[in-house]
Amino acid sequence: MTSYIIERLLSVVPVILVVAVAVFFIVHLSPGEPASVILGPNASQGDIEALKTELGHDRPIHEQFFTWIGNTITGDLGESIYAHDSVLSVFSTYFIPTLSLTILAQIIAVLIAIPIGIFAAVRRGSLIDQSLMGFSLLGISVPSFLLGLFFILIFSVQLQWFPVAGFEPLNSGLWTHIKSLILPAIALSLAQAALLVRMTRSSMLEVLPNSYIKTARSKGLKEQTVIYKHALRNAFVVILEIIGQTFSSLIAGAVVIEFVFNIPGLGQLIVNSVERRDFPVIQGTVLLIAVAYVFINLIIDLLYGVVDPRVRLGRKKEG
Amino acid sequence: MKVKKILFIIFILVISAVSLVACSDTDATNDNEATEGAEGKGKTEIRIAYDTIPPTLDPHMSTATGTFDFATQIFEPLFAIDSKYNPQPMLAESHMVSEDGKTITITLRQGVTFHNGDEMRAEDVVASMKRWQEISVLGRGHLGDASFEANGDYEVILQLAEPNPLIINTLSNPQQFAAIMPKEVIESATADGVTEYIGTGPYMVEEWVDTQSLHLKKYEDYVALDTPSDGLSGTKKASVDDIYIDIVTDETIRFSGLQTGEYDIAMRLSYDNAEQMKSDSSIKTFVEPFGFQGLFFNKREGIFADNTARKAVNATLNMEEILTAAYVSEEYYVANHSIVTPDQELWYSDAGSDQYNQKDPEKAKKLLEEFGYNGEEVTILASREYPAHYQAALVIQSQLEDIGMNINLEVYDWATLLEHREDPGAWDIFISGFNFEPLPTDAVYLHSKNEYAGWSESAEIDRLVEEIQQSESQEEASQLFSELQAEVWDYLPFILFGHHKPLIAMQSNIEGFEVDYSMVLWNIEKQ
Amino acid sequence: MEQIVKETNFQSLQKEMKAAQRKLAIRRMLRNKLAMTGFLILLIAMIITVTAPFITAHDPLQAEPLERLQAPSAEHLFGTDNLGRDLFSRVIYGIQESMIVGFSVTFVTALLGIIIGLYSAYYSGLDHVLMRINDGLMAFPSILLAIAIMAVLGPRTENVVIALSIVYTPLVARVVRSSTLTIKEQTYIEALRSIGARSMRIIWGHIAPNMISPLIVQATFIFAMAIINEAMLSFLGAGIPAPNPSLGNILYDGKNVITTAWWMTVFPGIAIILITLGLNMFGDGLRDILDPHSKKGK
Repeated sequence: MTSYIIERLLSVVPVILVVAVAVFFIVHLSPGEPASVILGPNASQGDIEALKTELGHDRPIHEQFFTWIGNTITGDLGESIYAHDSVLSVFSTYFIPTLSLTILAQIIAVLIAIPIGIFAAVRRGSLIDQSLMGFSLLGISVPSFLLGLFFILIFSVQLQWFPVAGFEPLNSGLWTHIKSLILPAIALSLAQAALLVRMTRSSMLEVLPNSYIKTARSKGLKEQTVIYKHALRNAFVVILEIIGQTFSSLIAGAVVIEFVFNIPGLGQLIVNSVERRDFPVIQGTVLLIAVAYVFINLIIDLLYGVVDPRVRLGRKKEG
Repeated sequence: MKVKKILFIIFILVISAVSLVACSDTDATNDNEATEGAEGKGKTEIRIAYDTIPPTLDPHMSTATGTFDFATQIFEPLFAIDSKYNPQPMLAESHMVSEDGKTITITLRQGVTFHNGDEMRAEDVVASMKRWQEISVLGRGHLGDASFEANGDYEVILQLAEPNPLIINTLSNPQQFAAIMPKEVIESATADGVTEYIGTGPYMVEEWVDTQSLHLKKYEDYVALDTPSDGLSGTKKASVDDIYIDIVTDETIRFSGLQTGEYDIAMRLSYDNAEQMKSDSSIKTFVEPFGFQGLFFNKREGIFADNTARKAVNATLNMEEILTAAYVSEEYYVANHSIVTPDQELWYSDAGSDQYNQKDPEKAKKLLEEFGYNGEEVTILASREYPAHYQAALVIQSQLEDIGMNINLEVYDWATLLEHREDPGAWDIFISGFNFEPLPTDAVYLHSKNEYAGWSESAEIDRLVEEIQQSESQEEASQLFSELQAEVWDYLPFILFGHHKPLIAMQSNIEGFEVDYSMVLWNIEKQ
Repeated sequence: MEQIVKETNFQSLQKEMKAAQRKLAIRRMLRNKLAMTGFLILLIAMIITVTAPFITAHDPLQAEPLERLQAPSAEHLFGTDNLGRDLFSRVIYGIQESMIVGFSVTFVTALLGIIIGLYSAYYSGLDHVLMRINDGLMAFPSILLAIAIMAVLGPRTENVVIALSIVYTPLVARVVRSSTLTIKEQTYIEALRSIGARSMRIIWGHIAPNMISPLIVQATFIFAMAIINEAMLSFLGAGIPAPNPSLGNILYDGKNVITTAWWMTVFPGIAIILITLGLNMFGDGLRDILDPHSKKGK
């Protein structure tokens, strides 16, 4: 087990390196640089060049890369050019709304999806099952940002139940904070829920005919107990897998949803930083997201190993 | 049973995350209650929804609108403009110019204190002015070899290499303005700006959250002038205790925040909301000319290196159409040819207006023929970050296509456009806008030495700009400026479409809000 | 000599089996309502793509500032946008743009994915390098990667195709690679190798044909994701360059006037949903038909 963990940990290193190299060169090869943004529209080219030199952005690109990667390895992601604050602290400020949004969306998705998935599996082939599957297909087909726009149209513009954008930060109260995130979280969760319904249903279908379920039934346990106690447990592993696999797509969805609802989260941080060419922030944020993604998958892989020793070296090589 | 373990681990993780969130939450709520308790009654506050993110609050650093709009409330210069854009003393008491015009002695006001409590002295002024001279566009352009020196605590001597009768106008320029800050703040500044925002203005920075919000607090020890308030000069009342400026880049949200009463003032709203505002008696609007918009030619490479080709474009343009696309209705634009506003009485002139808004496609086609246009592709750059630029570009495209030009419209984000426009091989026209310059010759796009994108090469324009700087009297300067404006409309380094008026709206109980180049918040009263 | 005979015999047998399978698949397909409905929607979208100039009365780029933001009417079926352009024409041309981008991305992705997947499964040295790059690319949230690539390349339609292809190729490569790994172990491939058949021939003549059905299923989902992501990119202002009509561009313009002009959000929105729904139904149906044993869901 230990050697497996070490092997998996080592396999993460090249992935993160690829991400680091890619993000650095993407950022530095794109046109536009912070000096001209800082100086504003009336600056002349001479002023821009002078500031570029002062900021050290005129050094050869490989030199800048090695400085950055060197600092990054020691845990120093640098400082935002604009905020006079470390990238890490800027990141954590903007991460809270995104995290709240993602967690809330995930919870809503699980709450909707698991019961529906089980229900559909139990009533396999019935009209209800078919229409539920139809709805879930629809759910997968509606991009979350579009759903967000439709929600604004319906609930804010027509019914006026919610303000067009009423984001409340965490420090104005947990409940107020969550309440202000409900609409965007629902928009974000529906596609996720649709996916989970299908996963739950198919994994339930796999285990329901199994011998131990039959045994449980024959022992005279109630049908509900059989389903919830025995079958659901197995479905849970699948859910775990989905949470890991969809983490990056949820974050990606959150980025766009934040843009729709004007929530100051990672999406806004990235959009603002790209607009102002805040190089250290873009690099640091993308790298941190990628690292989080890789590690969440790693943890899920390891948990798999705990659940089922057979998967340890075989199938998860690819993950 | 291992599944149970996992369930347990997840349960723990969720619980700890929730409790973490909950803990930080209770702390914050307590803080809020504490401050509310301390404030008590009688305190007034206003909330403003602001439209763009300032790159910095350091006025020496940036020419951006966001920067001077915010910094003007916090910092003060030696001289500030009045509502006619003429210089008046602010932190300076008076100034004297020597016989040869090269030595300017500036006497400072006594008893003016910074937000940190220290009195402003000559050494602070010298340190600030030296930094401004080094890093600002105007400082570098006009004070190249000049020196500042302290003479005692309340006198600063500015030694110029050449006489410059208009130097006080330049020092009062409100854009990248010559703010006075404490010497220590200047000394600890880094390449990307000062690290503390300490000025002498009527409001001090309580909290600045980059890209999010600025909380300004009334500076209790502010020493006001006794001259009447006029533009950015004169007395400043500061009758509101707290000003919260939220940066809300989405115009829909600025507007809905104003409707719900969350904001007292909303800056630069979409003209599409104007009708809704008119029918709402609790909201009033503030609409005044702010600047101009125009297209800038690439005079170094491509077909517009030739004056005839530029004249063909100018002959074509129908300004009402362009301005309507950009600013919706005549309420929000003035079809005017001048780079200064009619309010700048000392400068305003009709010269060049005969060349403006010709809408004569037949004449344009003849000029194109004369030039020998052969279907060369014309690349127009515009940014969607400024919807008015982009909307104007679309109309210009269709007008130029009507006279047979081959147009390629490229739309970028603003930072990318800034980079592309420095490459003479990449474009022919870009769309931009400018504020009115209090001293028109300070405009970066006039003199060729500024190397402003588009690269003018007109000896005549350069000569006139220099002569205006050196003119002995305002009459002479005004006369020369009139010639300059005629020359601009003949050489056509750019074509101006007209003046625009941003739509600012506020609750009807707000009085005293002004925009004189930058926002003026110190005379606001909430009824 | 004998070896060649054996091989041809085997091949002709394989071909017959394939033909029979295909017939069966087509028959199943015709009976599958889901797939047929999806196919019908796609067919309509394709017809719109081809006939766009004939079914629109207005130029989608012609701005009429004086007729801005008009509600749907007989003259303008879907109303006009914030520059007074006819929204019906813009949505029709937007569908065209989406379909072209979706198709191009799917084509490029399938081609690159199959090459990378096959070769990295076949040569383990190559595998290490390619799969690490693959993992690296997949560790980016897809939309962020696409935004970043667009920032480098600049806003052009071709670049949207390039950016989305870079995002999705790793996905296809991974699917191809893992099925190749399974097929590689099968006895007849082992046999071919042992009789000295050339690698090129094994890869393209024997392994690749087996990829076709999973690849077709995968392709329909890539098509749907490409359309969604193109819309998202353009909605964020980093996709198809304005003023070209694209469904995402219309939504971008519509967002600023959402309180006054619902039609600018609703019509392009419904168009996106219908196309992706059609693709997903078609893909789901196809999977049931071509690969009846696979799990539902993605």
